[in-house]
Amino acid sequence: MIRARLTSDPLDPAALLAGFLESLGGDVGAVVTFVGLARALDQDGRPVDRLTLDHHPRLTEQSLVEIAQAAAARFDVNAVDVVHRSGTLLPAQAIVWVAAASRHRRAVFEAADYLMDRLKTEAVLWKREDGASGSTWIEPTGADHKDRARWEWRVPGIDESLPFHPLRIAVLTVSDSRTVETDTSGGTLVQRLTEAGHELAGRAIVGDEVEAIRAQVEAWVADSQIDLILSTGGTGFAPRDVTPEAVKPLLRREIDGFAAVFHHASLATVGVATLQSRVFAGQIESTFIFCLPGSTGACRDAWDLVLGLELDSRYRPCSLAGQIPRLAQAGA
Amino acid sequence: MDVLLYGSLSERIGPRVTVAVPQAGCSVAELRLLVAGQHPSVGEDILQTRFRAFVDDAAVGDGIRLDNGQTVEFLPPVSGG
Repeated sequence: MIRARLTSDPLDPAALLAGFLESLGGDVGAVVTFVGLARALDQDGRPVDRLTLDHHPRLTEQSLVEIAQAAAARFDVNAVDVVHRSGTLLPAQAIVWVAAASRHRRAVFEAADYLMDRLKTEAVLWKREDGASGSTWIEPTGADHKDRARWEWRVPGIDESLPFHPLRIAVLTVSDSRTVETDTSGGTLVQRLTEAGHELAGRAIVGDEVEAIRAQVEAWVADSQIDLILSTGGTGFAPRDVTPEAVKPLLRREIDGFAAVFHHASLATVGVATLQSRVFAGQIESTFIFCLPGSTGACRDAWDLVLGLELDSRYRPCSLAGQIPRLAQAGA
Repeated sequence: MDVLLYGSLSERIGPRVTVAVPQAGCSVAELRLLVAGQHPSVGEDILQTRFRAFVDDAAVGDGIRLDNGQTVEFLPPVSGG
């Protein structure tokens, strides 16, 4: 049941709750109600004798219904009820009553919070406080608008309603000693990106040599069938580690934030030892490149906690997929 | 042209006023000026677009043309709860 109505009669919260509970059927495990009261003091602390609510004959109830329906659509709730006063109220009388019911408590707390933030700023009502010091029409405060704006932000994450666009990713392992069979970090990246639905567009192993690394990266950048390069290895402080020295001079733009986000994620796994990695990322021409450590665990963290999300076109608020020219045109 | 008013506007000049407009009608922005001229007590408010204009229960922008016979409503900033 999704309901919203305007009444000029006094509100009886206990009776409204009883009626709401009776109306519930099925699988309900939680109910939250909120009662807003007419205040006895105005914003400046002066006594208020009465509060008067002017309304529109159609738009007021329409706005209440629209807000209730939006709450029901947004949260996992079975029922929403909104009852709002019109007319003249005395201090401490109930001005608004909202209720939400769901299987889970989190959804109903959030739904009630959302309902009130929207009612405060969008219910088509005009409030006037009358007191000994005069009459004042009340408008939403800056805090009210700020509360309302909180709901404009979605929780970051994968939005299943968006399309997934596979990226064509090449994996470069930088190591003097590894073969395809022993390349566990490169193998981890290949496994994860293909399981995620991306396409493995190239794979190579080169030694810790500036010229060899650069030659492979440049070849892939020139290949129009490759959107993005992941490298693993050569980012530490061993004498032979030269991946940053090989790749950084090629970068047209750097993604400084990648190292910060990677270290933040990696901190939980390896603690402050994460600072021994000189990971970095950037863009060479239009190809993105992420240079990861040679450790398999570090590659796993980099993919699972950072790249797997940000390279997924369904990631909200936005995915790097949308910056890849081929996909930018598709609106990814 | 009939103009309906709510909240602080209605308190000052009543819920309904009749405003003389040109035979050919006028834009919403011009109507704001006409109301302000004929009812100076709401002049300062009604010239602000945050006092929204509605026709047939839908918000209309200041550039919209109005016919002489239409009814226009002006809604002050709203606040419930």
